[in-house]
Amino acid sequence: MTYDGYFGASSAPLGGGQVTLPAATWTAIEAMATGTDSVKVSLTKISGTQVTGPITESWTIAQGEARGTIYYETYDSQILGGIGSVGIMKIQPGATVPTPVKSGCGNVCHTASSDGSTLVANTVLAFGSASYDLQTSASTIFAAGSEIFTYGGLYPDGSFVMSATNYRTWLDAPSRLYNTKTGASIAAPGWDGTITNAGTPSFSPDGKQIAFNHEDSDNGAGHTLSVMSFNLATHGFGSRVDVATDPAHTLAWPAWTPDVSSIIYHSGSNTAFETDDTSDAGVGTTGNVYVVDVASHTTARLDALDGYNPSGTTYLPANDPDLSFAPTVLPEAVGGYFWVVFTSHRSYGNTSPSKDNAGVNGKLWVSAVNIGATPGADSSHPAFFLQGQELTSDNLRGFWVLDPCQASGSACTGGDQCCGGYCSPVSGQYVCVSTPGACSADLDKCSTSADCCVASDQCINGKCGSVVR
Amino acid sequence: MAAAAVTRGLLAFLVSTLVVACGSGSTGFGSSDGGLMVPDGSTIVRGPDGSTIVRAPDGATFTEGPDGSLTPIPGKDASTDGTVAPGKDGAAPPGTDSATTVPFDAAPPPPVTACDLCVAAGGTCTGGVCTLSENPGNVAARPTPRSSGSTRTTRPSFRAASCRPRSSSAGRHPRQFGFTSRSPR
Repeated sequence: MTYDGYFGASSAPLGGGQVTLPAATWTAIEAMATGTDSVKVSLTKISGTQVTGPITESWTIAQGEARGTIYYETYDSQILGGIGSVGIMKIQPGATVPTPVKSGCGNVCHTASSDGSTLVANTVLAFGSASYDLQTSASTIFAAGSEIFTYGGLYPDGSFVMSATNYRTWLDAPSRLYNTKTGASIAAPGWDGTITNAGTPSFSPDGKQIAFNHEDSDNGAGHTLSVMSFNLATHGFGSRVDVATDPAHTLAWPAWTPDVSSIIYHSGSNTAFETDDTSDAGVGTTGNVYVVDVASHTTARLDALDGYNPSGTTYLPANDPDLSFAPTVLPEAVGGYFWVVFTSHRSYGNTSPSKDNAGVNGKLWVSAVNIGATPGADSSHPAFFLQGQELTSDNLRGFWVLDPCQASGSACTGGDQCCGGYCSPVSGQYVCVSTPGACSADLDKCSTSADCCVASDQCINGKCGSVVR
Repeated sequence: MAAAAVTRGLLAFLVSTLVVACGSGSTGFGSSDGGLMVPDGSTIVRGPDGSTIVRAPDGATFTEGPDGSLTPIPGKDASTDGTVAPGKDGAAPPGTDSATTVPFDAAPPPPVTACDLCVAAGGTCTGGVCTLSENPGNVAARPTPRSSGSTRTTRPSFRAASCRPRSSSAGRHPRQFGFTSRSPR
């Protein structure tokens, strides 16, 4: 395919010099770029009498549609009321603007369950938190008079949460399991009496493990990420295993890859797991996103995601790496890759400057991560700006989860959208069904890779998906 | 620098020229078994012999001719007899278990091809190769240099002291700040 486009000077949200490719054109380019095709982009700019360029890049187009929803925390959103506004937004692939989920003082500090059914968040600073049903426009399930849900680690189906202790919750009580429908504590043998302070806890998408910052081990310095096995039937936990330790940095926001082989996390300078230059976070806060192989405990900085060349220099145009924080991972493989959303204070071309608003305003960026990567190697790809988020607000801590599943008979584009697990044609439309066909298409339910229609597909987190090697 | 992997539908960017360079052996569509999911949920994959295969979500597969026509591939179509096939996991036929079952169409809707999308964007598609040129800026084919006049407006750099939990002083949770003195351990 060959495409030529000529664009004139244009206006744009922050003053011009930006052009948006027509949607139909972009769709055609995506459709034509398949397999291992590379999209070679060449750009020439004419300004006055000066011609600049061409500059060129090669891109890979992942063979899949972006899925799910990203829930993120925002400050100073114009949609929520401008300077001083606070809230939680959601944004879905292709959206041009985010959708408010909750707003008002204290309605931040959230997490979402990987199945997209449940959100938990703070409600009143220091005094309250709540669980919300994402299948009913985030209606309140249970409002707690404490911060038991704030930044809690939700089980994949949203039915219970491991409370986060110490910074960002400060329960003044040990971290425990709580029922998200009733707020009742749940006895957890192996955890209760063993783990006191668990920061940024995160259950694996298969529900069989939990990762957390083990603040007990270093008096709150936050230098260690630990993992424990979990038994749903007994709510029991196994022995603690430290998978990553860095005496020089705080390790936080562990996020499991869908195949539960790796954990992606941030390694930052701030003991509050914070991401920006506010007074309590400390001016000059820095951070990078890393990955650890759960089996071997081998870590690697995700150089391409973080903005580094293999040589260690940066490829970011504003020379502003080391500003990446708080990653989460879409709990399924799409287009042959895993997908990470993270907060960064890097520049975005001439749209958003580096360390915007005196280092306070972050933005959400997305990166692909290879499936089945060699432990210790950089498995990431250069990140791209998440379209649709507001440009003038501080956007951070995106939690990327599936959409709430749809009942049989609902329209669908993949089985991952269906409670029954399959998306098949019925009466001329693709709808959710609960009965498997001869084999499972991409994103349909599977038990093993042999269930998948394409022989090279893998069954990852219960869904078929291609793998790019 | 490694190539960026991007998902469709998320990017907007300034582009002058785009060339999709196919992999070795490619004739326009994909060059591996990686599939392309098109908007109706069908997937285009490369067959073992290099042919282009269109696969519907129900597993039905078709070969695509140079003109975009589709021919079913026998033995891979689980949905042309109007009933739900017994599941590969041993699930009972429709009506004999508690699962939700519905009759399948005898003829699934034809998938949208990459050429369809090329034409929809205003391009021409011949032999699976798309050619697309557009000039939304009304720029001459050999553009006369002119000023872009592009300047960026600098926004005020300030932040309101608010209920932001990490930076406000009024109403902030005493336990949430001041990490020179964290909670007793």
